[in-house]
Formats: sequence, structure tokens, C-alpha cells
Amino acid sequence: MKENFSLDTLIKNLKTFWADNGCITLPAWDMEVGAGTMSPYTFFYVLSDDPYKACYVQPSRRPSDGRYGNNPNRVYKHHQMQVILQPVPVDIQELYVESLAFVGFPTEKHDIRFIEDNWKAPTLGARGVGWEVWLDGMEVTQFTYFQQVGGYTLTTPAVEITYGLERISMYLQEKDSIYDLQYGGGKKYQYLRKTEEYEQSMYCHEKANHKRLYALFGLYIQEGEMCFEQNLVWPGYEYALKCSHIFNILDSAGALSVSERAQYLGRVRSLARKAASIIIDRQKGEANNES
Amino acid sequence: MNRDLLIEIGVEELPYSSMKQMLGNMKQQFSDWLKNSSIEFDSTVFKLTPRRMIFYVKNVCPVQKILPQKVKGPPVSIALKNGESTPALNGFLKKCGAESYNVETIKGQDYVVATVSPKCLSTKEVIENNFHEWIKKYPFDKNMTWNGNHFVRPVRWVCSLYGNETLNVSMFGIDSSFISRGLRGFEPIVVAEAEKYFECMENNFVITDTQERFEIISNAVRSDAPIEIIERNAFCTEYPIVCKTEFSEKLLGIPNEATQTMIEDHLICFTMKKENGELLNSFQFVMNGPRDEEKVAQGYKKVVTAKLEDSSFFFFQDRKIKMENRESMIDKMVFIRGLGTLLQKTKRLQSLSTKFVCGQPVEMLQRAAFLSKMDLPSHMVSELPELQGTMGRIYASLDGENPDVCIAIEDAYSPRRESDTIPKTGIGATLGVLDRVDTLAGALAIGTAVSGSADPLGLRRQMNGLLRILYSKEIKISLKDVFYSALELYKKENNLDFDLETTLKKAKGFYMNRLKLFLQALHRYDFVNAVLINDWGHPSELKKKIELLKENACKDEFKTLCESFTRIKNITKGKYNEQIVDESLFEQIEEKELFSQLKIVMDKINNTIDYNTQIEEMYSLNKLIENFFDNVLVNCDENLAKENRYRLISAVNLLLLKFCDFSNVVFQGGN
Repeated sequence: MKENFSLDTLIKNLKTFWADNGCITLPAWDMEVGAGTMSPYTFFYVLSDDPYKACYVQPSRRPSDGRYGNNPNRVYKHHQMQVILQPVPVDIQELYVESLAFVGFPTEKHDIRFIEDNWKAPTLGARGVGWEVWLDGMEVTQFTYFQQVGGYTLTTPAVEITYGLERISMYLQEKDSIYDLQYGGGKKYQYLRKTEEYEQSMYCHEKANHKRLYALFGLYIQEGEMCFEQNLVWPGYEYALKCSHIFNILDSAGALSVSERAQYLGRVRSLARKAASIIIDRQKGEANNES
Repeated sequence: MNRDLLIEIGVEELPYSSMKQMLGNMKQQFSDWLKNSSIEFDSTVFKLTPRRMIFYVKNVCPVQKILPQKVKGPPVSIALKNGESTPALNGFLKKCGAESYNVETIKGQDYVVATVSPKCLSTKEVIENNFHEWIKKYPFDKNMTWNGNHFVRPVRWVCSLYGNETLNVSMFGIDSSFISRGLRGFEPIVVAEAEKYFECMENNFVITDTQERFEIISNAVRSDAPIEIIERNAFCTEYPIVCKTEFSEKLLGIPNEATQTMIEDHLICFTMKKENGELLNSFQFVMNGPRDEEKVAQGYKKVVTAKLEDSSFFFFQDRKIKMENRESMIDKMVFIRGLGTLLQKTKRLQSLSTKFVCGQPVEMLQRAAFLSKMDLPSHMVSELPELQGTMGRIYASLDGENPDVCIAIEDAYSPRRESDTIPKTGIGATLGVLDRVDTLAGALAIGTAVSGSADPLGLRRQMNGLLRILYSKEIKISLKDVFYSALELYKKENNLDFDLETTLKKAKGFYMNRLKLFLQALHRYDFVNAVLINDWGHPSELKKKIELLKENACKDEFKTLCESFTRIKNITKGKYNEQIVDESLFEQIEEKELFSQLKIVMDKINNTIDYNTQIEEMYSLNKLIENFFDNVLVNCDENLAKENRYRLISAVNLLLLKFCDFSNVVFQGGN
């Protein structure tokens, strides 16, 4: 195993590639999110028409994928490399394919396929059209042109490229289990993450106190709404993220019925929509001031 | 000199459905557009790969061909004064660019008419100026927005030539050139002249013909490989190469259905089978263009292995608990919010299947009802929801349940979608009917409304499934009774609070509405209207009646019967007098004869369920009705006799109405 194929190196390479192509490299958002899209670094900036190029690694928590550290492919928390480009460069697909070559998958050797997959994030009122990218049959990336965010149809849709880092790394390192991955510095994924996976799965599937979580959900919604009333969109949005995570835990425990599910989703979505509408109003205000 | 014309639009990968749409009608629309643009050509070719739309025209005339047109000018009386041209005439000729004119008589007046030869543009100009406007208007099923542009997917290059001349067909901010692109990762392709285009593509690993790609794949995979999977591969590759790899034999331990769903539906690869139909531990995948086959195979193998390992784990976990022991598990699963758990649904199904056996072996029907939802808490179904019912059959069968019961569990789900067949077995069909009625009844009881695009619980699909089963299968069941019983069970077993009669009425309204649409999609609307006379009509009975109407529609006696029926309906204004006819009030022989025959026919009709016999009997009234109307005055002065005659003709129509409302049948050429 060559050290330069470690997960660490993969991340470093992808960051280098996109930084060389004009992206700012940002830190992960320091809260629980289900996907990189939810980070304000995506959500807030794609609502604006301003040019924006950024990339960041975002840990993504999916309680329903928690498998107590026993499943070689599925984990409570995985890592996404998120790239946002607005406006979309004309050679965006070529750039993406180049990035794969840059990390070790030259396209003349590998079969890279774009398979239609229109992405939707109901909690964010977001949808896009695009593809999942198959690398030799393996789904390694979600490639999406945003069309709507927070219920708003975007005038300058951004493209979002989301790399599944563990998956790509497993292929690079020829490992069949995520826990056998070399993270870097001689440490394996197992060493860093296995206990965490076990405990998080145990918590979400068995030990979480649903009554308290329902209560927290309600409190966070209220706090978020209060923030929006005070025109404080950043903290307000963060409460939407907290609600979304609690929703995911309750959902993975099968605690929600079909209509409860719809109702809780609706409450998170309406918070996210409020955030979006404030951001859009502010932009309009700025535009008016300038003119 | 005539040359060929090429416009290749390079796009980011097209959606499957839009490709189908284009293959269906783009060639025709393109030809029509060229003709409307007055461009002369031999033929058009339209080809499609996931990354390019290819418009190709053979033997195109270099300039438009627009026939001279006549233009009407001023009347001669104004155009000429004393044989001299007036300014009006000169102005007109100048405007038309004509030097001479003719005089034509139009609606009795003489006019100056000039023959104008419109300016013909070069084909190059027409394509360059108008093509992009035309293609932008094509109604794609899926459009998207990027950087202010709207189209099916982002356009990334345009290659366009007329013969060896490069055309400037720019669109969406992309300028065209004579350079096309090859497969991803391959060199760009220089197209020297339009006529060389297809040769160039072939030499550069691009097969432009979708059918050809389809055949390459279908020739390489097993003969019963699913068409849809072949098609999806043909639609997402430009140069398909079918390769083979394998997975560990140990992973063959899971049911074939799960393996096939994973490998075929989810990964669009192909399973391989032995001659006896058993699955092999190898599969085929399609590679797009020449790549490092070993490396690509490694990727596919990894994905398939991971998926099958997951399934295998799920399968052995699931097998630890027998289907019949999963009551407590389905008691934790909500059926529909407000309608209790799946266990409660199962209990209702069991009750319904005691009451509505529909000629099936009652024990097996009961057992199938009991087991029908037990596969839902399995890992396999939560992972592959499309296998619900199928896993039920498999697990039940492994548990040693009766084979007919096992088959029924899966069968009851049919039809799952419009393209699906209806249940093959009687038990499956009956269970399918009861299950759907239970869902519909419950949903309506909690006030679920279906209107326009709002159908949150997919009730239309449920109802259509129900109608399709009842239409094609001989299931003797009273729809009213089964809906009533289902609602009653929700009241008694679930303590659901709702008004039973109101909900039954809603159910009836929904049922009749969908029934009408369902039948109208299959039959003449007037026949459908004629037979839809009773609430809760049974689809298979209605089918028989409609088919009989179809057979009889051309017969004279049928037309006569319809006319008589309509005549009576008009005289009585559709308000039939249901009081008993008083024979003592008859004054004329025609009344007596009609009534005595009516009694005979009534008797016979009431004693047969054969619709053919019934309609033949009705025909025997034709002559007598005719005699009656020819000789008897219904609206006579004598009130008692008049009312009695109304009773008599009402009785005729009331009898005929047992079959259908004949006044709805439409005869061509007016009635």
C-alpha cells in the first residue's frame, strides 16, 4: 500500500485540484448535517447571484446508515468533498473528469459514466437535476445543477459536485472494508472511527430518549423562529440544522409514522424556507441600495 | 452543387426519457421544419447518443426554393387612369419588386396582380439564422436551467458543416465549428466535410445509431435478458463493449430475485444463467468504449460483491424469524397514520376474507391474508422495497407454507403498475381485491381527498388496480357489501370515528368515477354511458354487456329497440310510472298484446343471467311496441286510460333498463 493513496492524500489532492481551479477551501461546518449541501457555505451562497467557487470536506451524519461498525460499506458518518461553482464553467464535466484523473483514475483506463439522477432535499426545499457518476460501476459522486433552494427558483443555478470520499478511497486502496482504509500517518480508519460508529449507532437505534428529542425538536423550532423574527438568519438556520438532525435520529429509530414524518419534515422545511426568504430579501435590498 | 448538412449538438448526458421522446418524433419534426423553411433535400437522419444529438440531411440544395407568389394590388379602376399607370400602381409594383402585372377578376372586380419571386436565402443562412430558435422550442419532457439558459441539458459544443463549409450555428453561448468530440478521454475529432461525419465517428469509437448499440448488447447477453436493461445501457453508452466478471460462489445463497434486482435493476448489469435456468456466479457489464477492461471489471466486481454481501446478511437475518411469528413486528409498523398498524390491517383482511371467500378455498385465502404483510418488516424489503410480496412468497415458501398460499402473497400485489399483468391465481386476485378495498375504505374514512394532482396516498392507483382485477377476473363480489364491511371493521376493530353512510357514499362516488374513466379508456363512450345505470356496477358484468352491445349495434332490431326506448323516455320525460298496469282499463288489442308479451319477457329475463338471451327476448317486443304506437293514442282524453297507458310504456322501459339505458347508444349518421 502506497502511503500516497491514503484518505488524507485523497482529500489533499482534491483540495489542491479545486484550489488550482479557483475555489476557496473552507472548513467543514461545525455542526451535525446530513449532507454537504446543508452547510451554510452552500445553502446561503447559492441563493445569491454572485460568483462563488468553494470546496470543503463535510462530515455527513446519516443515523439510518449506522451499522454499529459492522458493515464494511455503510456508516453513520461519512465524509463528503463538496465543490460549489457559480456560475458553472463551460468545461465543468471535463474539469470533474480531470479531478478523478488527478487522484488516480485516468479516464482512458476507467469507465466514467453520468447516470441521470435528479437530486432532492425535501428538508431544504431544494432540488436539482444531474447525475450520479459511476466509476467502473461504482457510484462515487453526485453531480447536480441546483434548480431550486429553500423553495426559490435560482436565477443563476450553481453546480454542486459531491465526492463520496470513503468510497473513492476504498477503490484507490483496493479495500473491501471501510475500516481497513489507511487514513494517513499510519493510522487506519478503524482506529479512528470504529468505536464512534458503534456508539453512535447504539445511541440512534436503541438508546436515544425519544421523548426528550421530541421536546428538543420543539424547542429548537421555537428558538429558530425567534431568531428569524429578530432577522438573525445565521443562528436561525443553525437551529434548522439541529432540528434536521433530530428528525433523522427519530426517523432512523422508526419512531415516526408516515404522516408524523411529513409533518416534522414540513416544520424543518419551513424554517429553511424562512432563512432563504430573508437572504433573498436582503439581496433585493442591497440591489436597491446600489441602484 | 447539393451537399449534405450536419448539425451535431454536444450535450452533457441526456436523460433516458428525453432520449426516448426525441427518438419518437424528432426526425419527423426536423423534416417538417426544413420543408417549412423551403429547403430542398433528399432525406433526413436523426441519431442520438447520450452526449450528442445528430441532425443530418442528405443532398441539400444550396439555396431555398420558394415558388413565385401572386400578390393582389389595387383595383384596375384605381391603378390605371386613361390607360396610364397611376402612382398607386407604380407604388405597388415597386413594393413588390415587380415590373409587369396581370389583371385578374376577383369577386366580380378587376384587380392588378403582380407575380412576385421572393428572395431565396442560401441554405447556410437559413440554418445559421433559424435552427437554434427552432430546436430551443422543442418541448422536452425535462428542461433545466444553467447560467441563464434553458434546454434539456447544457450544450457544450456544436459541430456543423454544409459539405466542407463550416456553419455558424451558435446556441447557448457556444459557437459551432468543424470539430466534434470523441468518447470522454479521447481526442477531439476533426470533421473535414459533412459527408465524412459518420465514418469519422465510427473510427473514433462513437456508434451513433441507438438501435445498433442496442443490438451489440443484446447479441452479447442471455436471450431472456430484460429489454429495459439492454435499452438503458444502449442509452447511456456511445460505444458499448460487453464484458464479463464474477463474484464469489458463496453469494449465490440468496434468492435469485434479490440477486437479479441488485445486479440488473440497480446496477444495469446482466446476470448469467446455466442452461437449466440457475444463476451463475458471473455477470456481464457494459463498458463504454475501450478502457482497461481488467480495472473496470474490478470496480464492477467490487460493487456487486458489496451489494450481494449486504443482501446475504439481510437474508440470513430475516430467515431467523418465521413469517408466522412476525405479528409483534408488524404491530410496530404504521399502515397509514390514523388507520392503525399493519397487524391491524392484517386482522381486518382476515375478517374480510372470512366473509368474502369468492369461491376460493377458505383456509388458504385466510392463511394468505394472515401472512400477506409479514415480509414488510424484513431487512430485505426495507432495502429493496420493490421486492415486497416477492420476498413474502420466498420466505413463506422457505417456512414450508402451502405453495398456493405462497404464490398468492406475491400475486395479490399485481398489478403493481400500469404495465403489469393482473393476478394469475384466484386466491391472489381475491386477496388483491380485499386488500385494495380495505386501503381505499380506510383512506376515505379519515377524509383523504383525491382531486386534480393531489392524491397523497395513491388512491387512484389502488382503485385502478381493483378495477382491473375485477374487470378481467370472474370474482363474484358485491362491491357495495365489501366496502360496507371494510368500513364497519374500521369502526369496530380500530374504533375509528367517522360517519359510515357518508363515507360509503364518498366511496361510491369515487368508485363510479374511476369505473367510468376505466371503461371509457377501453370502449365506446356511448356504450359505457348506456351500461352505467346502477351504482356499484361490477366491471366484469359491465364488460359483458358492452361486448353484447358491440355485437348487436349493427342489427336493425337493435336500432328499433333503442328507438322505441328513446321514444318512451321522451313521452314520459324519463319519469316512469311504476304503478301496476290495470288490464281492465285496456281498450285496444295492441295494449293487451304488448302487455301479455311484456309479462312473458319479464318472466324470462328474470330467470336468466345470460345477457344474450335477455336481449333476444327484448327484441320480441319490437313489433308489438311499434303496433302500439301506430294504433294507440297515449295522451287520450280519458284520464284513467291515459294513466294506464303511461304505466304500460313505463313498464316496458323499466324492464329494458335492467339491461341498460338504450337511449345513450349513438348511431352514426344521426338518430
